[in-house]
Amino acid sequence: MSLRKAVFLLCLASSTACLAVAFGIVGSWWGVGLAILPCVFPLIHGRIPARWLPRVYLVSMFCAAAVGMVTGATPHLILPGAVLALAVWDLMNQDRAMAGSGCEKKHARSLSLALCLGLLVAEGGLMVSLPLPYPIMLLLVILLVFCVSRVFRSLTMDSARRPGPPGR
Amino acid sequence: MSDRFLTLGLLSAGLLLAGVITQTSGLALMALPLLVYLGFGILESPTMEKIRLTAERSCDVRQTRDGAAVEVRVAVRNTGAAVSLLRLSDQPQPGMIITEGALRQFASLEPGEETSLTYTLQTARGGFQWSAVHATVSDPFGLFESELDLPAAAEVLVRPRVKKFRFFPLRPENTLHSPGQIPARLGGTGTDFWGVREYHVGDPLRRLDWRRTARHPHQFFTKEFEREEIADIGIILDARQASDVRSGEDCLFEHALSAAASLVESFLRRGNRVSFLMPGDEMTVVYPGYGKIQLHRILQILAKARPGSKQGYSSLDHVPLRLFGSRALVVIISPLVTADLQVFPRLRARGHQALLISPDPISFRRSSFPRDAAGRLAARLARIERRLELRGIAELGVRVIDWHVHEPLPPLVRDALGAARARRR
Repeated sequence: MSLRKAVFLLCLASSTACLAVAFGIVGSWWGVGLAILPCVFPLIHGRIPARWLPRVYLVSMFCAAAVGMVTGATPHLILPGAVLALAVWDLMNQDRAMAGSGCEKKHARSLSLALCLGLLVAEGGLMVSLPLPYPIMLLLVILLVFCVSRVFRSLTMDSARRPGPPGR
Repeated sequence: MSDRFLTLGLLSAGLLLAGVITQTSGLALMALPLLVYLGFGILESPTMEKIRLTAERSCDVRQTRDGAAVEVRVAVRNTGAAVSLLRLSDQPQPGMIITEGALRQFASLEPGEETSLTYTLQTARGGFQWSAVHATVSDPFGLFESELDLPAAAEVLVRPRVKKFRFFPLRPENTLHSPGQIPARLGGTGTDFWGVREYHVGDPLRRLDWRRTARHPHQFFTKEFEREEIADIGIILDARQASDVRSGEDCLFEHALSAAASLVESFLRRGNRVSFLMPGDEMTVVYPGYGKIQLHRILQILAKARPGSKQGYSSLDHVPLRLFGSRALVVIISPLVTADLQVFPRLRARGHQALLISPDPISFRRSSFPRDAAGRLAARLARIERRLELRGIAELGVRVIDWHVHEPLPPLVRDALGAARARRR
């Protein structure tokens, strides 16, 4: 078994386990099922030619995690579960032809760095409580979404301005 | 911009909004890892202005024969900023079988570094051309991709497989007056005794027939030897739509083409003059010539030859016979259609010796005929019709080879061309 495959399976198992345990602690057995069910998608990925499987997996795992958050499951398990699901999604999207090349190591390094930092920031956020009034919070979120959309738009325009490759 | 970015963007926006609506901070916090991941992608994403890549393609051969392996290497050098993830890909072309390596390659390039996309392909006959290599530059997560085609041109010409004919004495009716290997039935310099004539001033003394001179006092006689010359040969390869007869993966035209290549090589190797005509969608002409350059010229055309795809020349009667030298030996390789029969009287009227090599399309497609009584009857009628047509051509003095393509051709050609003169004698 290749290192990539081993990491992939480890992340998948850990992600599922985190969410299942989080649901199990609060006694929400249907939640455990909700956390385990999306595991099917990564396992059949590659066996059937469907490009939507990784996306469906990520969305369903995050939906399960969100349900866990709302129903009062411990966020210290939900957040790592969601982050590991993101890692599984990334590895599902990774081209298999990349295996063994130098860029695979670079990718793994960037991925682990991004996910660790993301998890740290999220866990840190759990410890910080900002007594902001609801309207200000709403405005901040709208501002953040606006910023993301601006970045998105600028990148889209950048790719639209880019001259098309010759002969294609 | 890839759909991965869209997925993550929408998911994080959804989580933030859901967190605000339900007033659950945990939901908003779940969006943070996604935003950090996106941030990494944005920071590492390349800008087109900083991407400087150059590519150079090299093939280990520029010309090869059918079925040979060709190694293709595309070296890409980064002369700009670092590239986190570079994906190189080449388009597969029809007739190309990759035996080693792959048409895709991933790399991560620091400034000044070089990587290469290397693969080995086994080729069928044809011309393979590349103008560029496709490169996709992106951040390590593949969120933001920039695509570009790097100019990297190369061409490989794959000539048809030539089956070398064993030597056979070619005996055309007419020869060209240039020294060669074919006995010309004319007195001159050669090795075979031809006759004796009266001595002319200037004849070398070693050719004097002393015995006859002794019998006739005061008269001298000179021995003559049979002159050896070259043949003038024209080859017509039928590449019209009608010759595109297929049976599964096999194509009758490929057999005809391989036969033409072998004949051209065989004739030119013995120093003969060969011209070539190929009526297809358009008329391809190679003017008479000799030697390796002529062989190279004709094989280049045969390498790229494809059977016609549209209704071009309805009959072989429209081919310009004036291209061939007067009284040249004309070899026609065609499965024939009924309209082609008119060309043979014209050939004979112009004084050409003609040989028809007709790959048999009926036996070639035997497997595709229905196996019921009607199918068998149809095949039988087609065979009878073809046999009658070929007999009519043979009656004009044209040598005919009804060639079942899975039989070896050289013995048939040897019988048809080598024995012709012996029979005439």
